[in-house]
Amino acid sequence: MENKVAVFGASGFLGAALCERLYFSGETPFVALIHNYGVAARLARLPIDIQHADVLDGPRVEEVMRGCHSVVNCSRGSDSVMLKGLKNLIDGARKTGVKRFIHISSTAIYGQDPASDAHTEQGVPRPGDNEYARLKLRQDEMVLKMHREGIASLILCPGNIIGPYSQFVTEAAQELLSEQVMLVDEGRYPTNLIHVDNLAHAIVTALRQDNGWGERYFINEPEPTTWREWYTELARQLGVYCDFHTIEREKVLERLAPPPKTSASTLKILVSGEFRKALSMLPWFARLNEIAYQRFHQMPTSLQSRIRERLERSIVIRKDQALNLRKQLIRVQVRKVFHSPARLMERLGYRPLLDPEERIRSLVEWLRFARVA
Amino acid sequence: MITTAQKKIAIAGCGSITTSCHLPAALRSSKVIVQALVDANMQNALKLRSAFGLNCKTASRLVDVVGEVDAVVVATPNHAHFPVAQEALSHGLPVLVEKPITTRYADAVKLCEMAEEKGLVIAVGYKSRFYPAVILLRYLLEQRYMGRLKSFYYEFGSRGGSEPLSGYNIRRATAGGGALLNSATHFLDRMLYWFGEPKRVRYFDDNHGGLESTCKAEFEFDNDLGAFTGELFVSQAMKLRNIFVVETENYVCEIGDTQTDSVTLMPRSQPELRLEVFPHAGCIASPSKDYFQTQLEDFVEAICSGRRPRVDGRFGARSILLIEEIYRQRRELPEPWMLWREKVGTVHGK
Repeated sequence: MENKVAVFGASGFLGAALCERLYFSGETPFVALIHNYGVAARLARLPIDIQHADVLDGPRVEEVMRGCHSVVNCSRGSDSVMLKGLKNLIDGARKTGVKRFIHISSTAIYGQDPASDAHTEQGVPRPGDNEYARLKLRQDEMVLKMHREGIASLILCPGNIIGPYSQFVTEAAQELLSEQVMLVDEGRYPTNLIHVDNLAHAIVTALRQDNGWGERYFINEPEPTTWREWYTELARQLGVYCDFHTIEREKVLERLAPPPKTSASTLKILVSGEFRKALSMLPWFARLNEIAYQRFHQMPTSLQSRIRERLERSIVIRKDQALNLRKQLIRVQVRKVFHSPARLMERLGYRPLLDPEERIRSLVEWLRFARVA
Repeated sequence: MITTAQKKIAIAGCGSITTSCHLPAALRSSKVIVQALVDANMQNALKLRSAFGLNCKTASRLVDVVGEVDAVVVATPNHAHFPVAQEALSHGLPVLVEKPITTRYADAVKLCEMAEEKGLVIAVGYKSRFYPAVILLRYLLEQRYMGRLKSFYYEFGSRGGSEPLSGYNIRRATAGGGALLNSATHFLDRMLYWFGEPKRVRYFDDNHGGLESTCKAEFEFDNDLGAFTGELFVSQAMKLRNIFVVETENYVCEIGDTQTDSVTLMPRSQPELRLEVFPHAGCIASPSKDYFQTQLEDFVEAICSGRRPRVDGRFGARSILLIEEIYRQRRELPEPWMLWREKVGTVHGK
């Protein structure tokens, strides 16, 4: 078919919303590609073409892309899914004559605490130590290279995607209902939220464009709403009153920082019994280990003790804290920069489908349906 | 060493549920020997045998292992339950059929009649019927322990579950239904066991021409237990609270999602109390118990003793009859959050 779209990662949160949009609107033919039948119930309620395709299976990727004009990559997963999987998608696109490729990236590529230049796409991505962000940035580079090599490609870079079926929204509502909402620096930073239906609309808008390819675009709601404003409005629409708790941003950042990797900690691993035991399966290492063991025991006892003390790790028990950084709800609030979608609006003519009131109403309707509220 | 009490079984269907539940249960049990693994896709059978390091026979057709086994566990995709069980019974083999017994009531009845004619056991895989909590609640209801029954509410939802190899679960032709038939069926079986058949049903789901991912059913009962109502809300697309609550005159009774051994009672006269009630004084919680093994051993004991299994074919058929009736009452479950549809205009759906 002339304009058929292949949606990879179709059973995911964004992929399913995009497939609903394409099915109900009838705008374009598409095939929904999934890798796990167990999570496809939302998609399966529609009478659409759902096919199994693991992005790590190159020949299968090529097979399902045949006859498709465009590809939208919403797939997520392990490191290999992100890199080898994307390579398979790119190779498949080349071999099957795909004309357009839209890749979903993330504002995570600008790091947890981005510099102010990240307000626009001109800013330099600095993913920092975050492995996911580094992989997403590598993906972006692969996609832009594909564009230079002749397949019109673009990258949509959302902040925090929310909407019906979103775990984030469920948790936020639960926090509101239990009056446990924690705001970072009183919730004064921008949310960088994007409603999934607006994101699906941005994808459909981009697919229709002849210009503007070969770029990365931020996609967030155009109004830089703060976290306090967002929670306040959600609470109002849910009909609940909530007193917010607050925490300093510096404290959150401190807790989010990865523990320093020192050469001493590496040495501790190398000399640990478990590590040596595993390596001892190699005959030459077993011999080496035996020699090292004998030498160590030939040392004066005081020296042996000093080495042991140096390598021993003290046991640290932290005080219980109300702050649970496993919660994405808190982690996302440290970002001070608003990643503006101005370029997307200007170059691709994107306009949000749902306005601020509708976005919240959509969430509240879903929360009631899902019996959270 | 094979003892006379041990039964040699074939497991038909080597997909997700066999890998994670039926085969481990059978290997753990001293009452069965896994003699054969059967799958229409021979590769699935070979992979499974290799994964568990077994020496059993593999086959792509049940007929190839007839004569070598005493009974069959049918764990194929739903649409194949009927033909595979029918074939096993026709060869004089008792069957334990994974839920739902069939996708059509008429087929379930045919299987039951066939088994009865031949004097064979037909059991259905509703493992929750072995939970002490389930049996205890029925006892409490029968004894009118909690006073007059007023209503019940069941809510269960998870995003995803097992990962069927064949993808049968996303197509009507192979699954027979969506969340109601595949997920809510466990509760409907328990509901029939506890409360009997409802007098009236109202039903809503989100199926747009495929399979429902979320469904809601409202029931009215009027029987020996009194006149009362019930509601079920089940989803395979979103995580829900996973609760079951029974409201009675004197208590609010809860059974949590993982609460297999006890029921929790909250006396209306003393709402600050939560009483955990066990079936008998010596009963202790055993959350790690494998109820697939219990179910399989119940099936074997039924074969050996001639008694009925805990959930026999006739009871399994009652669930399918009820599900067919529920589907007949179907109305659309509104999805009011899809505000974008008003703006874009829709070709499909209202």
